[in-house]
Amino acid sequence: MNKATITALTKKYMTVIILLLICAFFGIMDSKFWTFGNFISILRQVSMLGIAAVGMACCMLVGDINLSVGVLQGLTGVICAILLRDTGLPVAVVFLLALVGCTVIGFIGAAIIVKTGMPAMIGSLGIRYVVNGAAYLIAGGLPIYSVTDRAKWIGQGSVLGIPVPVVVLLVFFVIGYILLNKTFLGRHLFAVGSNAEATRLSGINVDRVRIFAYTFSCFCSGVAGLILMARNASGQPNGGNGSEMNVMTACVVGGVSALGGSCDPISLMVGVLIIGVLTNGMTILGVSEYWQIVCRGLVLITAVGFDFYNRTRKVKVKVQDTAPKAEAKA
Amino acid sequence: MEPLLKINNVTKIYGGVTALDHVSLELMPGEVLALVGENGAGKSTLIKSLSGAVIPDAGTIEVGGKSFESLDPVLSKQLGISVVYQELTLCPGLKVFENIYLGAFKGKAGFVDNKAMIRGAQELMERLNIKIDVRQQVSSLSVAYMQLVEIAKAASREAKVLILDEPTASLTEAETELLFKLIRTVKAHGTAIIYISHRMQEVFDIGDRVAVMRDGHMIGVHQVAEINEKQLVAEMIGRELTKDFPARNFEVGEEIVLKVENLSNARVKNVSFELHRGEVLGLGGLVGAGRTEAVRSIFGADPRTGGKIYLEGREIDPRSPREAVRYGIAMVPEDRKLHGCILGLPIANNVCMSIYSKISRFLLVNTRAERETVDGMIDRLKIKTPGRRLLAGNLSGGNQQKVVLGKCLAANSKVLIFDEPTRGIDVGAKAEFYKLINELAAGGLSVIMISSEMDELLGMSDRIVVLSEGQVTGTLEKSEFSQENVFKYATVNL
Repeated sequence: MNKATITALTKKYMTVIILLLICAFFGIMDSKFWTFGNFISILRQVSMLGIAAVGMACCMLVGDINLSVGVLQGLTGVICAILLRDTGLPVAVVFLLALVGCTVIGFIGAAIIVKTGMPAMIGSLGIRYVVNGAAYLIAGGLPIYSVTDRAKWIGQGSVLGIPVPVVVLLVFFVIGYILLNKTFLGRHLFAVGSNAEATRLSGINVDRVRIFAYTFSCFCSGVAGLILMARNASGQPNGGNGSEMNVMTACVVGGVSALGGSCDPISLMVGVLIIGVLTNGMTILGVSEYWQIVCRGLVLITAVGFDFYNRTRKVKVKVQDTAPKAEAKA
Repeated sequence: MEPLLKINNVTKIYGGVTALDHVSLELMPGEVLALVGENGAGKSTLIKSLSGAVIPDAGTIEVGGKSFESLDPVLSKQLGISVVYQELTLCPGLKVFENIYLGAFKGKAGFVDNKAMIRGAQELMERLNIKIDVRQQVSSLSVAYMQLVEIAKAASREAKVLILDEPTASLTEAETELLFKLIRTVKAHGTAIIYISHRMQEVFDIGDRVAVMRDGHMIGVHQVAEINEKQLVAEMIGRELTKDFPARNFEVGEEIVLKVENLSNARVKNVSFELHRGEVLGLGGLVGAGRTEAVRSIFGADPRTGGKIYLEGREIDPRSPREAVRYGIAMVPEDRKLHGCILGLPIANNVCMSIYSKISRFLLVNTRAERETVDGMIDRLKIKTPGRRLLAGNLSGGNQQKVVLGKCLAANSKVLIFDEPTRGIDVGAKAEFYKLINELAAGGLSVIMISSEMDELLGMSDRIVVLSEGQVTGTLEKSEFSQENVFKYATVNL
């Protein structure tokens, strides 16, 4: 194995190496860290983050960003809680209705953003306010404590000893993996993120692909919202508020480029786990909540800094060896 | 009198292509030197060597008595060389006087002294006889006035050499007169001007001397008074076709595949032509004649404002590239890296891009069909690659272009539009590409080819439609093919 392949491999598995190092560190510091129970508990803690991250990753893959994935969790929870309280509908139907609602809101937002051509970041920022306000209005500003025991199952139950949120998380990663690697939609997502104009000239409806990505990210955060509601045993209008930042952090640490065009579901999972392990490990060690926030920021800056530093260096080299060719005919 | 600027034997080679071959030129203070030549003659490379954007491989550039092997943008500015490009480099959001002083703001302790700058800018404009309110926002100016401001800015920096790259390309006649007045004023102050233009009339109107470039060589420098237009054109194009082109044996048949009637959009007007089955139709003209804009409208990439398109006798109305691809029209765009290939994706994804929805069932991609399509294309187009998973960005230019072509062929196209198909690819790959185009046409595909390379246009086409200023100015049958004829029609409206 020569040096180049080692460098390439290190780069590819950088996130995995970092995750293992962090795990080793916490393992040495505290024996409680390396237990099956703790591992499951980490997964449960990151379940909502991870599910939302799968959607957000698709959105970022096409070069957009969705800042409304946090507050949508709150809105979905509120809608769900109200339906459980006021209608006698079966839990499954209520869940379905809440998810459909969330997805429709996402679709409308996506259509507005894509068709007007405004930057997704700004558009979703606006939608974020609207959704957040709507959640407070619907809930009357207070949490709704009417979540039935059956509905709590999705957040607190378990299947074969594995918590349901963890199962849902795994299901969503499998969905994400298949979507990105096996379906034509996945191919189109990569293409649009890599070069939207070239994709358009290949005869693909770029708008539709972007609308799908954005809507899918809203759907995912709706699912996360159901789990959040069940774990809180209430529909909190401000639930999930601010979590969009954590979701973005997990995506970026997991190697999703902030410029679009690159995303690997496995790395994404690792990114989510890094955030989860850091939080869990530091809590076990008794690190204050405030220092944890600082650490999260440092991790984000390091990950993105590395990515962009490598990228800009590569671009510089590229400019030198390709520019003359393009120019020869000018 | 000492020359302001002396270029001695400057040579620049780009990966096998000689863009400048021992070019020498002298520039006297207070003269306007017109620089003419066809597309690709080396004018831009020469200008870029002066502006510091290009580092020559050999030769020297002497400015103000000092000799340099190469310049960089900062040094070039310091030496008093200023280039006004076609795409202007003013900040549209700033006011005129702010643009004039950009990089050299007047003021103290970080506070700008607006009054002093406005006064200074006004004095400058008065000196140059430009009637303009310097407090106006640049974005509110017409292109002509932006150009005047840009030249004024250069003059304010004590430019000794002012280079104007096709300054009149988007100006009206009255505006051009305004510009010429300014050029004469600047010239009277002792500034030397290099003036690049495709318009012969302007060369004679404003130039003192004229330098002709062709294929990277400096062909000759003349006093404008001692040469006429005909001689000048002869010098510009007077070369033999060098490359051998594979023989095309094509008879214009009955069957018309594509018919374009009075196509108009923002840049072209009433473009009409017919394309027969198996034909290679060349679109000739100068850069900016509207050829790319015309085909982009046929392909649905840009909106049409008028005209009809018939495909195999049926009227079609492609409003997006997606619809055009469905009708069986595909395009290999001019800018391979920006619009053609997706460099960050594997060959496979690039080739199958247009057909993924077709080779999928219930969303899932049929990977076998994908594999077979890609391997088939790699085989058929002889794409040199270790495998289909290689990123397109790692291929050579010629092979990237083949990948784009593969994408078009995979989509089962009837009409293929090539926009500068061999731009930036090396000679060997070019020959291979020509052979491919011939094979495709022989197989019944109809091809529209835009080319600015005269020998490619004449060598590959069965017929040539020439555009100038957005309009069709001539159609040449094979028997009428000659550089002179293409050039004549290409400059008709200028």
